[in-house]
Amino acid sequence: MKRLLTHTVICLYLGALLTGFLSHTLKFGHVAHPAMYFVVWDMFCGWAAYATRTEVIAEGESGNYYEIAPAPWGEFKPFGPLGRRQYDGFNLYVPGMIRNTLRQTTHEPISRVYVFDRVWPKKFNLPDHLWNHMFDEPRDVHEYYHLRAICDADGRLIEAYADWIRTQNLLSVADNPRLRKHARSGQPFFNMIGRPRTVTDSEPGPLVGPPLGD
Amino acid sequence: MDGSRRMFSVSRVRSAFGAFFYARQVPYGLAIVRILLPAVMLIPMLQRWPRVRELYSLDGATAQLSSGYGVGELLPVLPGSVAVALFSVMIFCLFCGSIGWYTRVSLIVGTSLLTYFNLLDCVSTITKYSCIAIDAMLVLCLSNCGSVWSVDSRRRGRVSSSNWPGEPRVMYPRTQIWPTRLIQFLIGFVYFGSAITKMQTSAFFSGEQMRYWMLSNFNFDNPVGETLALHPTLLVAAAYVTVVWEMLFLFVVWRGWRRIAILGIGVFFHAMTCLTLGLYIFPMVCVSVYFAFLTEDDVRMLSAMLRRLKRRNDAMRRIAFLGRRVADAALRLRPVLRLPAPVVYTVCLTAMTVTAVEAEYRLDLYGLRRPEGPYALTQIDPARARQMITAREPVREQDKFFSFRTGTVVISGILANDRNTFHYGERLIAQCSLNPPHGDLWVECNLHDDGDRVIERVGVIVTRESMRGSFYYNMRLGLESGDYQLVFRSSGTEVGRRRFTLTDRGQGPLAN
Repeated sequence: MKRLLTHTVICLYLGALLTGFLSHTLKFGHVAHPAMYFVVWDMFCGWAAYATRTEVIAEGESGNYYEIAPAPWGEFKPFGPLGRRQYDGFNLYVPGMIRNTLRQTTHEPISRVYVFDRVWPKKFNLPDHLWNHMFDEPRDVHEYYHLRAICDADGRLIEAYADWIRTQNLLSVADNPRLRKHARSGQPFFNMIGRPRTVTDSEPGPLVGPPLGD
Repeated sequence: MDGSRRMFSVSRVRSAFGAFFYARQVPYGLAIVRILLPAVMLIPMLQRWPRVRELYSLDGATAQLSSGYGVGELLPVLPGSVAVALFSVMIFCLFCGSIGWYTRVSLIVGTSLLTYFNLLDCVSTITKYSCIAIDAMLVLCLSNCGSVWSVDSRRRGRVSSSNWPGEPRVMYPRTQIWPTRLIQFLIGFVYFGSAITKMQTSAFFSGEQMRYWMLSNFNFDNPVGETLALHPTLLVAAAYVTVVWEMLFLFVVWRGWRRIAILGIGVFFHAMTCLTLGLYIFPMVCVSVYFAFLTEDDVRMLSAMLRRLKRRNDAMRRIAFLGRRVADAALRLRPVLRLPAPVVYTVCLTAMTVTAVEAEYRLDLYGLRRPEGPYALTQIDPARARQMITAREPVREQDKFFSFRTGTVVISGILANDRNTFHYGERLIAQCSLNPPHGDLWVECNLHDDGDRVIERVGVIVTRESMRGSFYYNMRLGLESGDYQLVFRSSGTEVGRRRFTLTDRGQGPLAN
């Protein structure tokens, strides 16, 4: 009986590992359930050439603006120098963070909360000595701001937009008169080449966790 | 005949399976994994203790993993003080699991709570290293890892002495090795799956992915990575070596010198992820799990080596003597306290939990009990806020480019040598790297003389999927020796400039 139980444990454990491996390799069912996160090994699967930071500000009824993140009591930095909100790549949990900050602080009535991407090319992250070795030009950093979402005072989503990088992708694809013409004629009611207006336009897949190893 | 042969082969398979999973060994390796893994996981979890209320309770902003998978919030979220109490229980149990005090109970409770808290926060707690640790600790819960080098083993008096040469001093009970095998398979699958991920990421083999990760600043400081990011050919070579190693791991790690070699490469690989990517906990988790590959023979050999060393080295002998005195003194504590061990365990657990809840209450994360009341939101400049809200800027041309380099050798499509001095007869290769996403671009690389007069114009179309544009100039006799500039232009805008010198090797251009 004990041997049978041991056999079962071995088979279940190895079966789970094998299932995770196969579903990840074949891209089939790998996001079917949160449990798959424990058997799918897709570390460092994404990357971007631009550094992106999430900024959150609130607009009061008086017209004043307030910083929502980092919260006044300080931000938790889980894996390095960046605050917690920076690891929510899909901004899925930012509404909860907004709600919590507004709930735990004193403030005037808030009319809207804006969520932004602050973006710059990662080459500007090079330290000075490497920059001087690599480039003849002085470092001229320019940060791009891009509206990601508008929420109400309860953190509920009112409007959501694609992130800056996806927007640039869409713009480069849309920068084609022939394609635009065909898209317009093929889709009389909705323009799918333009910027997505709702979160449902996001790419399917697990909107989870930091895309990092540590 | 066929039937008997088949029976023979089936019995051989069964016997091999039995020998592989059910051989008996002293679980030294598992004991080290048990000591290290909960201790390593304590590092990130202790870091999160002051923030339990914010990260894992109803009083904060949880981020359940299940929400990201579109199945809603599957786990109950508890009030702040309850979450702090449970978190403290988890920390106590992980510590007890590590020292092997009520090992199985501690590991079961510790692993369950660790899984719960990780699932509650997929933004800043759960990562793949948590998954590896939880998967391995799940096996530890089922194993007899507490029978070796633990408080339990000392308390139960299971150890017996042996003074035979070549034998360890203390003899521990032998148990089936299937839990060890499961952890070994786990790490093998982790690497194999990781190799598949890399193979599915085309930019991994061109060095781009790692380069941008090394510049991301998402993890801790990684000065070596920032330097390596400027040497993409090294990254390409490392990418191939890594994938080959990860794929081979599962097949060659089982025995002989290959086991030592493949684990040695693994330790080096994880040390490099620390230096180049700023990862700390991930390498510690993986290297801790490597000890599952430690066999009884290894320990026997190491034990004999240490004893030889101790005999020859006076300092070692003193350290060993001191260690034994401390251990004996610790064991003598039990009769002095005169309390049953379960009572001591429960009292410690309760005392720690109550203290932790009280301490967290006094910490007052949100400042609710401050004399001046809760915190107020920080006001920001309205002009700056409006500028952020209305910003709609196109990307500057220079921001579409990562670097401009000149050299003579291309390996795997990447300029391999950085040079700014060239000789007649050589071919100068100028290469620009681009930051995706970018549209289709017309990029020029124009040759200017020292006085910034245009000598030659060369342009190429760099399509949106391209990461690089290359330009070739032959250093022909028509050019005078001296200083030149290569001016890169995109859509008519200058985006970069590289200076170089053309020399004649001291002989002058004699013939073409």
